[in-house]
Amino acid sequence: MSHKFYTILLLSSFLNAETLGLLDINWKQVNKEVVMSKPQKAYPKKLTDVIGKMTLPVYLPSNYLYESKYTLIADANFYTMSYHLEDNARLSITGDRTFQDTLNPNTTDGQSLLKASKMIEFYPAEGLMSTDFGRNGANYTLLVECYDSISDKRCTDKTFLQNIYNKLIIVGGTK
Amino acid sequence: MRKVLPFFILLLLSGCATKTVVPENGGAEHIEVGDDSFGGEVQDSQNGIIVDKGAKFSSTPAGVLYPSKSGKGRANDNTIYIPSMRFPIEKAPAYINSQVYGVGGINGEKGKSCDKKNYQYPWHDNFCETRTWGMPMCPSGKGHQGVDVRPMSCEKAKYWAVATENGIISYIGSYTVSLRGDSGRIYRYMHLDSPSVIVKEGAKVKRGERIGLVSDNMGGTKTSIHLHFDVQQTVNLGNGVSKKVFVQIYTSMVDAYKRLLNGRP
Ligand SMILES: [Zn+2]
Repeated sequence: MSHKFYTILLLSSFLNAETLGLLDINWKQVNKEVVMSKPQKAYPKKLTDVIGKMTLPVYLPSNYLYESKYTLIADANFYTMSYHLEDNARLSITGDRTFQDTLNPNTTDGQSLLKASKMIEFYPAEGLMSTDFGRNGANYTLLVECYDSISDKRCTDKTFLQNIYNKLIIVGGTK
Repeated sequence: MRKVLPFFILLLLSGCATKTVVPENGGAEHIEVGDDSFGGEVQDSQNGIIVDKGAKFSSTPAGVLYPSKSGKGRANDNTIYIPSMRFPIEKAPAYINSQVYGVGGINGEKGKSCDKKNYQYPWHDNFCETRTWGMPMCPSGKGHQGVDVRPMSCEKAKYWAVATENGIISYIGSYTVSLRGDSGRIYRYMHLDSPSVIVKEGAKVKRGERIGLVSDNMGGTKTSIHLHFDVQQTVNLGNGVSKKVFVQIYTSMVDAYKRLLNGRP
């Protein structure tokens, strides 16, 4: 089977670590999860070679539709992997190790965010179904966008996305 | 110190998370902020399109939602979270107000969404407008994720949405385009006219570069002609805890718009 596989390689070679905050990754926990991570079918080596070099755990669906073509946009600390599902929807997962702001957790906003960081919510918003979650120090967004946002259940009911979420596995990432 | 990483997949990342606060008087010359007056002339063009030219810009404060039944905002949050952001529509005028509670909206005054009342200043914040999904930064715990912006007239596929900072196009769906800025923020542009989207996934774009035309596309169905614009960033709470959130974007939009009006977008 030939994979319809597109990777976007970004060619700059340095990172200014002082002007951009990086979150600490709990690699000990990640390594435990990696052992448990078993895709239904191995991702192509060409892809895993690339994502193996990212500095955050790269979560991807274990059960994604293998026939779909996919696009990876990535740098060392960030990726968006998106799948063109053949039946008129687009599934994407974004992982990010950077942060842009800090907040004292004892403030009102800080308390709200602290509470939210412990919850998983699947929300239909603007015709999309998505969820944001943190794992092992990094942050992720899982999202499905339907060509028919009103009648396609994947975008109105959380079941489809929840199933994908429950079967995310770590496919790469390194300290 | 710059850390050199040998990987071939790296993108130059730059930018810093700075904040500024809107001066109480608004700060910009020739522009009134927080003034409810509408001093402009409303003209109807030949094809009935409403064009509001020469009106003096004004905006109601952040956190004050209009109409008040549309929800509770983040009162007194005058922080400009993204001080250098370019306004996401290429040209002024543009109008931030509710699509749901405005004229022609499902919970709004009876009429058409093209009604001239929707194409007037002042702007109204709608970041925390009532929705059904969770928004931890909104007082009710629920809210809109961003703000809705109408372009200068009620014509679809005519006005360009543009890049708010340098970055890379990280995702293109059927009506959504995501730009990951060099700062790491994700800017989402929704309801664009799909055939007009001139960027490709993975394309590096410059601040102000055209992305696609503002329309009413919502994936097989239609909404009013507007740009839904939202921004996500990650907030570090310390002790290994962080949260990705939608940023209160109204004040940054006011700031960016004033710069656009002053010819320094
Ligand atoms: Zn909206």
